[in-house]
Amino acid sequence: MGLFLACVISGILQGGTFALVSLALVLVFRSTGTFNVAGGEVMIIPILAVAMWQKAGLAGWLGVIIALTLGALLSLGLFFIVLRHTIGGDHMIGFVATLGVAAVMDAVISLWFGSNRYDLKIPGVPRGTIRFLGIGVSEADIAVGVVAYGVCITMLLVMQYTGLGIRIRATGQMAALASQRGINVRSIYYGCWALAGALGAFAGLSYAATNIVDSNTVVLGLAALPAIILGGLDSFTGAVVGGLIIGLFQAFLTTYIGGQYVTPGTYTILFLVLMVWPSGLFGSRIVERL
Amino acid sequence: MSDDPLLDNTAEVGLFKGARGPAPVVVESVGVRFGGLIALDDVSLRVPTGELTAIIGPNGAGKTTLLNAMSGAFRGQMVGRVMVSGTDVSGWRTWRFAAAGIARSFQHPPLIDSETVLENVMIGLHHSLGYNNLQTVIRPAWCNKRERQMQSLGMAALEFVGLARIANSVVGSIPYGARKLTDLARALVSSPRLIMLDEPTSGLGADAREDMSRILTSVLATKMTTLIVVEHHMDLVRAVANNVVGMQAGRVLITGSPSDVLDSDVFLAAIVGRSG
Amino acid sequence: MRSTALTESVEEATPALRTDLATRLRRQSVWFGIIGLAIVTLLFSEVLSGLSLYTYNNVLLACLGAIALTVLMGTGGQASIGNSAFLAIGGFSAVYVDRSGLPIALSIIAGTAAAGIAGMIVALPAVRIRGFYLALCTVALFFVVVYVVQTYQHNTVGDSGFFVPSLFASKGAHGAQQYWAWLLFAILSLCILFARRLMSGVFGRSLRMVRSSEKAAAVLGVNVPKLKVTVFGITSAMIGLQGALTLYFIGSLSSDSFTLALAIQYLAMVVVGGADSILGAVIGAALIVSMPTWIPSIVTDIAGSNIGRNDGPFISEMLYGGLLVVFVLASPTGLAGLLRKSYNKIVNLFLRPDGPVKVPANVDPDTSA
Repeated sequence: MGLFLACVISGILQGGTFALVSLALVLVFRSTGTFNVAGGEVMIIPILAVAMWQKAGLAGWLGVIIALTLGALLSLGLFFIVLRHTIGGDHMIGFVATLGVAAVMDAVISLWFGSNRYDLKIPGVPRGTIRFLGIGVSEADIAVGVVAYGVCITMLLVMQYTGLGIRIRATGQMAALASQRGINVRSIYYGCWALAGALGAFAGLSYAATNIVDSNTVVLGLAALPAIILGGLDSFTGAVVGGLIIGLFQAFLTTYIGGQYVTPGTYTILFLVLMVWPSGLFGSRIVERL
Repeated sequence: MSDDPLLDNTAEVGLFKGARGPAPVVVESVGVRFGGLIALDDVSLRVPTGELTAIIGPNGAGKTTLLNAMSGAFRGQMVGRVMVSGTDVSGWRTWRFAAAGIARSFQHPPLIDSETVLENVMIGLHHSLGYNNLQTVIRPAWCNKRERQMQSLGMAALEFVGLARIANSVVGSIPYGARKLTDLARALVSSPRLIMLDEPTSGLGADAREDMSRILTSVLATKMTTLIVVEHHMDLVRAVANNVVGMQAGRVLITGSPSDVLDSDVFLAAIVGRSG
Repeated sequence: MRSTALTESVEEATPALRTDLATRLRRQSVWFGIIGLAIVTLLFSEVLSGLSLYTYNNVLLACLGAIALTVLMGTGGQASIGNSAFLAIGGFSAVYVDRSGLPIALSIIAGTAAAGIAGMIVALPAVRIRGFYLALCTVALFFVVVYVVQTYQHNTVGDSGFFVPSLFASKGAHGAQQYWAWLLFAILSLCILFARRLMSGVFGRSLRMVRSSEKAAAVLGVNVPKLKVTVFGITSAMIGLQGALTLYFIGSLSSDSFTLALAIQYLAMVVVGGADSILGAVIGAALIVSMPTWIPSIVTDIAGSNIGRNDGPFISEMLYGGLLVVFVLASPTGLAGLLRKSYNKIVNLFLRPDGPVKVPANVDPDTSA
């Protein structure tokens, strides 16, 4: 029983990180129609950079702010330089372009950070363990989880109920129309990409708060892909729910069967979802018109 | 033998030569839904063999959906029957329709932009003069002969619609009207028993509509195929159609000869929003 | 011939089926390519050092995978990042058969067949999904395949990987490379001829129609599921052949050489070289496979600082990643397309003094050769 509970808790907490990355990906997909496979790289570069600088004496909170800013700038730069030109065109072009960007960023990560491993110190993260329903859970995990889900839910509320959220969704659906209604489409695009980058960096920080990071951490981004397909590519709620489910799945898989099954297992889920219900749990159906 | 040079041309090179003749078409109580939206509601039609039947109606009336239903796009999602030459084709897989002599054109012509006009037209002959991969490997000379046959038939179709001059032009670089004609030639090249044209003149000017009118009349004159044409331009309908079917909101409102339908009160009252 | 209002606005007329010299030459372009390849192979095998010849042989091997991917993605429009997975299947199936003591030819056939069958299985989701969803399926396949071969390797020989006697090793280091060069030339030539047949005629047109619009292709009589299974099966088999041959070329095999980055490399070869074009695949393969050898010295010349041998692959990755981005955005026909345009310009200048003729960018109306 204790093991099961530990699984559930760690799965939920891990899912928070996935949910953040997934939200970032869905955000750019909803606003500009781009499927960004380079999300993991955009997420990890600020984290590694700040970790490297921290070793050289960078202060804690400043590091957090720099990480978020770097994430936003990197994402914005990616959009501005490359993906701006793919809007309105075939989705495949943007997809392939992000693959190219991912390759470039992977190379940069290997060149700059090599095989170094970093232990990022994030201020405000508690140490210590508490007992919950008979098992020990680290306070850090809980704090990180709470904050991560807090951000997720805030994002969901913003997207659903605020004027900004409505404008973002309108721009994504029909940019020409939105523009006519006075929405500044360009700044929505830039804002969404910057926000997505900050969200990704935040996800990276939440992971780094309780884990060692190195150039391999980029695989976190890869886990988000099954999460958003499961949740529905164009659904913010789906991103969070998908991230949660994948987090739970990975936790149970690691504990009860074995850690080496995690990646193939997660992608088998992706495969099954695509075969059986491609639009995912909350996504809208894809239709090809003759 | 008429004295129209076009007809003589086709008789020589094989377009509609030796074809099986026009197919009788009957649509029985066809219905199509997309989730909560009813696109076609209990549509029944008897399409006169060898004649040109125009389908008219406002946007959203279900005209294109009807064509899609009759060319196999909704297998399994459709109620009712579509009978072509007495055979129920409703349950057929989409790609069998071409082999049965059913061809169509599209509102926005799906062509291969990187290929030539002639290559695009030759696609219409895959089911009749085509060959499979095994034959490609073991009988290359025979396949080359088939290719040449397809080329000459393709050229015949292009001459029929007046595009022979640009047969070797890349589709990506030709004007929109030429794209529509390429789509039409692709439908004609297989000498089909039933041709369905979806807004063949949309996006074209008055001169082009004149050309299209002449082409459709020529096709009719071969007496070798049944035509169903979705159209918005009433002058074209009056000029070439033998019968008219008026649709609205997924239903058939009225059928009859062009003058019956187009001058009727029902039509004038109900079918608003016609363009051009 | 009657002309209509529609066609009067189109430029210069062309005779229906051209037979002028320039077009006749273009129709036989495959043979020119193969002869050219033979000449290059002859030259390189005599002149180059063992190491450079090794790179050349790697290029020839990569051409197999690049040509397969260009037929699948360029002609057929089926997005795939699966080259890595099929290479692994080819290599590991071959090593499995090899360890059973069977002759090399059988293990190569096994690798090819296994990859082909895997390709046909991947085609099953392809029947219902397309675009980047299909690409994601191939990524899923990749992770599952990597897991399987990793486990197999771990349970049999451990993490150091498999070692097989390299073919032609008895001829010495340089001699082996020469033998390989001619063997690979022969195999590649056959594959080029085969791919050419696939890309032209009925099959090629069906593939391109499916690429353009699947629903319309079906209405026009193309059995779309069967086509997808066929093209996936054939192209995956070709990639598997490359994988099996690579096993005997390098003499070793380990699961960690199969990465997503490798698959992206092949994507870059096709996009940068030019999709739906054998010439494009060859150019792309030559460019990207040879990159790690000439990049470090160029970067050192430009940047001044000494770039280690180890960094070569990473700088290459940056370069081909960047090229992939630039070409997918700006130049869909790739380097081969640019070459073709230049060829047409030169031809128009010298062989057609009466004025330009609209020459098709990508195809020959006749399928001979």
